[in-house]
Amino acid sequence: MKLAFIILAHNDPDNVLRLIKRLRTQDDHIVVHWDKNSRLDLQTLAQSALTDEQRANVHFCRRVAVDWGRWSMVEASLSALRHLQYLDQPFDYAVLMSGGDYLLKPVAGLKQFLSRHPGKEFIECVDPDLDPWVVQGLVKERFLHHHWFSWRDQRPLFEWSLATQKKLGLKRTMPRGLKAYFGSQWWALTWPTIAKILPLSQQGSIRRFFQSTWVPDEMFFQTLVAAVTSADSIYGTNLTFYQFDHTGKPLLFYNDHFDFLHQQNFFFARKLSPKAHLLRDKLDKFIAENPAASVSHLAKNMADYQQFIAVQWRGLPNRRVIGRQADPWYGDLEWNKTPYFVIMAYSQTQLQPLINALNALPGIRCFGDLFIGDHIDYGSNDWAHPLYPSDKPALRDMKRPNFLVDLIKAHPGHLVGYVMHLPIGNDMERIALYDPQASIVFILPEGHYLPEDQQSLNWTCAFQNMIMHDHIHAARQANKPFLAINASGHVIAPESVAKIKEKLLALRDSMMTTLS
Amino acid sequence: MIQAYRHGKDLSRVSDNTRMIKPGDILAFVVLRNETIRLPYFLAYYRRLGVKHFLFVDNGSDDGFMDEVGDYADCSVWHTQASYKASKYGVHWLNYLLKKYGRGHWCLTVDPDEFLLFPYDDSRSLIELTAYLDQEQKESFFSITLDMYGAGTVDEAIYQKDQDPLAVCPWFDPTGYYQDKRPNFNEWWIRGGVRRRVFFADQPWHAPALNKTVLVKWRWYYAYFASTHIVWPNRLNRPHFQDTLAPTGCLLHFKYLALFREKVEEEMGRKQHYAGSREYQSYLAGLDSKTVLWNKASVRFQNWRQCVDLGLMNVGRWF
Repeated sequence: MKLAFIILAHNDPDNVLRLIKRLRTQDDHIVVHWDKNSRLDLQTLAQSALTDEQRANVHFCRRVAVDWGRWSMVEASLSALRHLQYLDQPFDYAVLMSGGDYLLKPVAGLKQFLSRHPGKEFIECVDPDLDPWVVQGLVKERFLHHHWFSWRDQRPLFEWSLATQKKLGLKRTMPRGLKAYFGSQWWALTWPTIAKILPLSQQGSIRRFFQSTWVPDEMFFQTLVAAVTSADSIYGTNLTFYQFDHTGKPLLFYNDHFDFLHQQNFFFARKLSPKAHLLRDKLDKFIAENPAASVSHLAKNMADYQQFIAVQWRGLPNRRVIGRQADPWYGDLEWNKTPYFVIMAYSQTQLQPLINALNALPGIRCFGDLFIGDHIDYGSNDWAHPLYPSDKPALRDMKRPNFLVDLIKAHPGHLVGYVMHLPIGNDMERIALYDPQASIVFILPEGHYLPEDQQSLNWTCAFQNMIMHDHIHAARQANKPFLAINASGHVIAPESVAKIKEKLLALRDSMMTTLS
Repeated sequence: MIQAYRHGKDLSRVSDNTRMIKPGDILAFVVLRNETIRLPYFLAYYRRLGVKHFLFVDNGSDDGFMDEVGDYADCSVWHTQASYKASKYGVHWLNYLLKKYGRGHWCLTVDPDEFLLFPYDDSRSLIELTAYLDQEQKESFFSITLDMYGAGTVDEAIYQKDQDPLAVCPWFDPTGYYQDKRPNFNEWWIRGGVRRRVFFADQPWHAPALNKTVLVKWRWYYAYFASTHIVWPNRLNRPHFQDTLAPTGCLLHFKYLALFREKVEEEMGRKQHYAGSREYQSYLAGLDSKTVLWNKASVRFQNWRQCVDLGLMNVGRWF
């Protein structure tokens, strides 16, 4: 099998030369198109950088000044193809690549793959009526209207001309009854197909049409291949692995992407960072160790990328995002996904026995009245957060939600909570009521009548403790499940303590199952 | 900006290699005074990341600074004896140099004790980061300062020339960082860390800001405002994209070395710092009682992934 590689490059000559060295085999030919806009001349560089043996069968075609998104992109490829035609060799396939690409599998493996799919065209041909294919921006407008201006350098003119044509209802039709197809610029085509396309590319009507098409390089070959071959000979995928990001730019691969690229069932990857020498080394090493590696079918494996997008774009779960905060009042609690509990009691309740009883339970840590006073009450004397000494309440008060999150994070695998004697006089009261992670236990004064279903209040008694009532009302309105307990003589009865224990243990267990 | 021009006149060129700067190079701008001992490692660190040229403003060093950098072709030096305070803590000097040499370049403005970390810094270079930001049309890179310290007292953290400061000060506070918007301005104002915990425990709201925008693709009309905490225009201070998160970095700050005490005493004598040197007064008070900065909750620094895990750095959508 005899292959012809076409490399389109405009910068980074070192890596282009490196690619040439890796691609080169005894009987294949390489044609390089080096952008005329570049001040360097790759051919001269290659004279010194490549040995005579390495330079055999490496050709440099007529240079075209390439303007991104315009006809010159296609002309560069055509220039290389004409050079190949002139060489007059019995090629089986021509493979179009970019200078920023690199090999994932050896050329021998590629040949083996191609010989298993004789006569197939490895090009993406997507019908824009069925699938827009383009990630962002113009789709059919690319060819339905004339585009005489460069989007990069003359954007206002570009947009004005498009808008004017749309307003005037000017549309054009495809020449010679062609049907438009889209696809990635990169392909591998059989030589007979190319021999049919080259004369078509000389035809005035086709040429003129694509000269004023926007991004013709993603249409020209796709459209013509679909016109000159039968549908079943088009494989529909190219040999190069690439992935567009959400704005339609190809992802760049860096030194840490070897494992990701290694999962991809393709022969080339687009595109590698110019500085990713280590990645190129690793790929070289893989090819040297597996000189016959091939793939059975071309397929992407994007699980890692999808997970990355799902996680990183909005921030990691349960982690603070630096430089983004919905509400400074809410602090780090915005990111907290660990449940905690708050025991809200009226002012005279004696809570220390309850705290002790809860701390005796496995997997539960109940603090004292954390957020009030000039001393941080940790509830028991054996532990204080090292960053928040008990006698430095200012550290706590600078942003109370952050202090709470730090306490929760300091007890992984525990259900953390604290007690609160009302009124507390700071924002933590409201935060406990509205934070979805907070579960509340209300301790009501004696005489409050609360039936088992907890749906109705004894209004006479409710007025005795206006704050409690407000909070219960708020919790109810926020659809927050809560437990309400009556104290008797400012003490919590043992059966009530048992009830609280039961509820918190259930909460802890559900927390542990969601975490694991 | 006019002030930058006026204070630019204070600067006298000592060694000028700026003709070596090529288009697209990453430049570093540094104001320093008597920090020569830190320089060899500093230069090596940023050269490895991909900084191509260093522009120093030497504010009257007398510790052989020129002997250290005079021979390097990638260093240019301006000298001044003028007042650090009058130039708004070096900001006017920096703005002058940035305007003159930084236009069109990615410019890193750091102190000699600050080391920039960014996502993937173990496998990707600063050049790749800036290329990515260029591609995403982001002109600045947001970072927060992490104050590093040793396990003992500050006086025990003795730094040798050429040494990695992480070997002396590998610890930092994993949490206790507070994000707010500055009143009156709309930029982020992040405070916290060991400074707040130790030196400002009683009035933590006075703790100095930790957010810094040290990496900016400079244009002629840009200007730093208050040290590198705020850069004008304000859009450069935005950490993220409009819709999704952008990568952000951490600046490892090695202030608390044994050199620090000397420095604080000198600075108190010079009275050249912000807000009546309030920061330095607190430092001196803390140092007198031989405070140990290390704490049971301190964490030993590992790598950038640890910073991401602690919620101090974002990877954003940089895959």
